[in-house]
Formats: sequence, structure tokens, C-alpha cells
Amino acid sequence: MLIKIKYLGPLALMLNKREEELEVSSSASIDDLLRKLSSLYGEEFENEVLQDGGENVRTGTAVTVNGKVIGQLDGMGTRLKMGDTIALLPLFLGGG
Amino acid sequence: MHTYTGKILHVDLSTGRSRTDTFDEEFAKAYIGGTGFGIKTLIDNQKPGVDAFDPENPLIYVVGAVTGTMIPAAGSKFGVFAKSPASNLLGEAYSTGRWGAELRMAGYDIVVIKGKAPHPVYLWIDDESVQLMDAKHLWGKSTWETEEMIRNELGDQLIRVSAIGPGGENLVKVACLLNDHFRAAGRTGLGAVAGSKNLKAVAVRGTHDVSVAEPAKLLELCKDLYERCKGPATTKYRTLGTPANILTLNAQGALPTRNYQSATFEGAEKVSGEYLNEHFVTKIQGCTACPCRCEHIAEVSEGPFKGAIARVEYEPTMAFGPYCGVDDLAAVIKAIEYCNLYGIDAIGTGIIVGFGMECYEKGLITKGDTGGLELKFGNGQAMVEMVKKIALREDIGDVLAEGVKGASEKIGNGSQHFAMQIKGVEMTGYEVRGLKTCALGYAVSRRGADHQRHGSYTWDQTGKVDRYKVDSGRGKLVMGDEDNYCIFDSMILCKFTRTIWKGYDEIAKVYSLVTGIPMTGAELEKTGERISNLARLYNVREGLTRNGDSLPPRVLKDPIPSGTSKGSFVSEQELNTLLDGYYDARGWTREGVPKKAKIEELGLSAYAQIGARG
Repeated sequence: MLIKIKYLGPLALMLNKREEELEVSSSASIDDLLRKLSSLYGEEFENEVLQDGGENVRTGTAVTVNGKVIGQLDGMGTRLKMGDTIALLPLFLGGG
Repeated sequence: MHTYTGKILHVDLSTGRSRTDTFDEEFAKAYIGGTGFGIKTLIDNQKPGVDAFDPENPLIYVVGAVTGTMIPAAGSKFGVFAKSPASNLLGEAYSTGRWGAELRMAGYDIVVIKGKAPHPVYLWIDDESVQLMDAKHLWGKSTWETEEMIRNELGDQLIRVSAIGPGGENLVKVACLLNDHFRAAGRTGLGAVAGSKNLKAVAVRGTHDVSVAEPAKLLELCKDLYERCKGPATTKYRTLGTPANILTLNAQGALPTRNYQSATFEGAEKVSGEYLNEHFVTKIQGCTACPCRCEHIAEVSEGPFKGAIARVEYEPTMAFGPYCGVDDLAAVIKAIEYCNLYGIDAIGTGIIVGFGMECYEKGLITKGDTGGLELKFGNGQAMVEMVKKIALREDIGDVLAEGVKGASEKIGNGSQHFAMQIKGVEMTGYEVRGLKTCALGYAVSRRGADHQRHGSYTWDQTGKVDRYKVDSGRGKLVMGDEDNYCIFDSMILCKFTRTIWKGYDEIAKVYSLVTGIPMTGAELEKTGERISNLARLYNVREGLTRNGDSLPPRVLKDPIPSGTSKGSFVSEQELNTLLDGYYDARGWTREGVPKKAKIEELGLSAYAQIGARG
């Protein structure tokens, strides 16, 4: 099935693209998607997105499905549906 | 003890006299530095209830526990404290660059400035030599001119200067103190406190070494910390800088737009970090001892604002961009430049101009008030001109210079409903109507509307809680965040490195390696709680009640009209649930007053009379 992925912040810079469409299996989860993207884009991408050996989204990055953060869905196990829009974005953090 | 100089410089501007006091290891361990030193020094040196512009209100400079060392992103942090003219409560602001390290190398950890000079002066700290210098020729000059003229007349280009501009001289409620051209102790109007004292600047030159207790072990740890600082945890800051937040917040329906009338901005792409980097950034630089290099210096190369230059961060970009409905980054950069030159806080000023724009569009102020400016949302030229008018108190700028709280009280006609402030301090760049843990953090923040005292939006945006709902458990989350940030602000560590640290234990280890004072993670955590409670006791002493821990009426009444967060707002009932949960977690009464048992538990018995019984 076809899904849309949006990249914001440093990830968009790294990949030199703001969005893309990707074919994933009909039972794919966020976990499957992030592993697939990591194998597609390599170690640098994986380090920016995942931590704990790929078990969790890296602190500092948020993943949303149709605008809802996966922490309020089923986390890495969140199942995807055809036409979903997944966004990978940096956490908004102020400071200095 | 190492690193600490153990010295407090007291300066009386009225008499021109100065003296040096000392503090011991017990004081250092109990309050760490930075915010701990600042709040403790303020509560002990300010007569209760004095006006912010009373000469008896002390203006206090402090450095952090690790300022002047090689700890990454902490090399030159310093804080400024006084009673705030904006809130009449705790005034607190931080800056970086190079000034803080210079003060410690001059031999001081704390400088307390009281009184009022009979004419404009600047304080010149040259190691042990402390002098008040005539500043009549500097009065009216911009911060940049002041910095340059002081260096030239003292004949040393390595002097560091923290200065006010015309905004501080004119007692503008959002006046700040600028140093190193682009760094500001920005919030709560402390530049106006300096102005009220006829104090134009504090110039510092220090030539002493800063010693650390365990240099070899510290070096080993720092190698690791520096590597972590250059990794994924800080990629955002090194590449796009904080303006990366624009598109992220827009996507999350949390970008304050047109004076909080919307949470998304149709022009976000044109004021994004991505657009800024591509079209305006000419240099990326950093502070002393920092591997992150986050400062994005942007310059305008063409058009009506040609030549404008500013360090551009998310907050001022939000304030002069979406918040004013302006999608022209050249105008944003010019507005920030004016804020720097005139010495007014770029966050607060942008929020004030946005408020003025809504007043204008609603017909509450007219072209006759604005000096002919068409002060509508989206008019970048008018926005830039209004910044100057606020700093110089011209036309309606004289009213707006009182901040949105003061201005709305004068303008009336329902404008208080959309005066976006808490405790008299203007809101910052997070749409708390759809970030309800963060909303609690804002409501109870000790220095008024602020994300920097808690950072509690992390719970909301990671989905660890439902950001559109509330429960009493949020109080414990915000409390933990506040106490943690107290330690960051006391050490003083840059919050951009917040995710590289392995908890309190590692920060305590650094503290001990630097100072030689034994410290555990548990002790450090308790110290954070002590400092939070001391700040509350100060604010209670100065008149804060539960009513002050609130949110702007628009946040409590008006739902977000569109976008991901459509329909969300924080009801009065929800706010009460949040506040009750927070006070309970803190061990305070439901009126927000620390109880005697908590005060004693934290070693703050000297302030027991301020707290509640029981």
C-alpha cells in the first residue's frame, strides 16, 4: 500500500527532500517503516531517528501519523493504513 | 573550593562605594550558582515590597557553577536578577557569549548593584579595580555603540560589556541588557532596572585563571561530553538552528499566529529556518567553549531593510513573523536588529507589536495614535517602525512600552481579553491551548509567561500524555521539569545540551570534579527543589497568590480556530485541576504557599515566616 512521508528540519536537509511516497506492506507498523527507511538511507539517518538498538524513536525526534503523535497511538507498533501521512520531525525545544 | 571565587562584589551607585564580601562552601553547595545564587541574593538583599524602580531594588549579576571552565556549552553563561518592573515579582534573565567567563576571571561570582547614580555611569570591573565611570556621553547611544565606545576609551578590545540602550534609559518594561553584540539577558525588563539606576553598562576585564579540582578526570569526561555535543542530540541547533521550530510547530498546530488568534500560519515556509538558512544566514558561530555552534547570524542584502544584521532564533522569528502575521524575513531581521540596538527584548516586543496590531484592526487605536502607521497584521514596515517607537516611547509606543498588561489597562475596551501575558510578562512561542502540560508550566512559571523554566512541552509533543487533556498528575511532571531546569540554570548549562546529560548523577559528578565539593545526584535533585521553593517564597513575599498563576483570557475562553489543534483551549476548570495537582505535588497549600514542613525539609527555615503553617 502507498503511504506519504514528510520530513522536517535536519532530516529534510540530510535527505534533500521534504516528502515522498513509499510502498509498504499492508500490515506494516511504524517500527517496520523506520527500519525500512534506515536500510534505505543508512546509518546517519538511523542515528538521527532511532535509539536503543532501533527499539525506540530517538529523544529529540517525534513521529506522527496523520498529525497524531505515535505516543498517543500504539507507539512503534502503530499500524499503518493506505494513504496515511507520516511525519518525522524534530521536537520543538527552546533554550539556550 | 575550586572554580568559585567565593567573592561577592557590592556596589552602591548612590555613594559610589564598593566592598567585597565572601561566601563559603556551605552556601555554594546549597545554591550551586546561577539561578540559585541569584534568587538567594535577591531575597536576602531586597527590602520586601519595594518598587522595581526603587534604588533599593538590587540589580544582581551571577555566574554559574561551571562558568569559565571547559564544560561544553556552559563556558560563559551568566544570569541577571532583580525585582521585575514587568511582573513586580522575580526578574530573571540569562545571557551567554563571553561576558560571564570574564566576570569570573576578574574574581567575582556575584555582583550586587544598589542605589541610583546622580548621573549616568558605567561600572568598570578590571580585576580587583572597581570604578564608576562617567557615562553622560553614552546616554542615548545604542548598545553596540556603547560597547565599542567603552572598549575604545578604556583601550582594551577584550573588555566585555553588558549594556542597556535607549529602551532601558526610557524604562520600557521589556528593556534588556545586551552583551557581545548579539546576546541578551532579555526577559522581565531588567534593562529598565539598570536604566532606573542611571547605570548604562557593566564592563568587565578579568585576567585570573579559573582552577578546577580534578583537571585530568574532568578532561577525560569532557572529551566524551564534547563528542555527545556534536552528535544527533544537537543536529538541529547546528544546522537549522532553533528557527527549525517554525515548521514543526506549524505542523503540530502550535505556532502562535496573529496575537494568538490562530495556531497555524499560512506564511510559515517563508519565515522558516530552512528559508532563513538559504537566503539570509551568512555565518554560524558559537559561545566560549561550545562545540554546538548554534548562533545563526543573518544579514539582509537587498531591499528596504538592506544591511540589517541579527542573530536569529526561533522566538524572535515567531514574535515578528507569524505573531505579527509577517512573512517577510528581511523585516523580521530588521526588527530584531532594532531590538538589539535599542536594548529591548525581541520576544516581548514582538508580542507587544502583535497586540498593538489587533488593537488597530479592532479600531481601539487609530492612525492618529500610531503616528500615521498602518499597524495591521502583515505590515512588516509598520512593525519595524513600531519597534523603534516603543523603545523611544513615541506616539502609541509610549503606551505599548508598558508591556501588553499595562497597555491593555490603559487602552481598555476589552483589550485585556487578548493581552497575551502572564504575571505581566509577555507570552513566548508555544500555543499552550493545545499543549496542556506546557500550559501548567506557563501558569506557574516563577518569572511569568515562559517555556524556559520547565520545558514541559516535551511531555505533550512526545505523546507521553494527551496534550489536549488534563489530569492532576501533570503537576508532578511540571515540578520535576522545573527542579531539573533549576539545576541547569544554576550550573549554568545550555539547555540545547539537555539530552546529552545522563541525569543528575552525571551533572553532580561534573560539579564535584570542577569545584571539589562532594555532590550526589540525589543531593542535586533536592537542591533543584530548594531553589524552586525559594523562588516561590520570594514571589509570595512580593504578593503572588493563586490568582497570579493563571493564563491569558484568550487561552481560557477562545478555542483554536483551525489546524491540528482545532477546538482546543484550557478551561477554568482544567486550569484549576492542573494547579491543584501542582500545588499538591509541591507540598504547598491550595493557595500556592509553601508549607512549613516543606520549608524546613529543604533547609529554608530562615524564610519560614513567609510560608504557610503546617
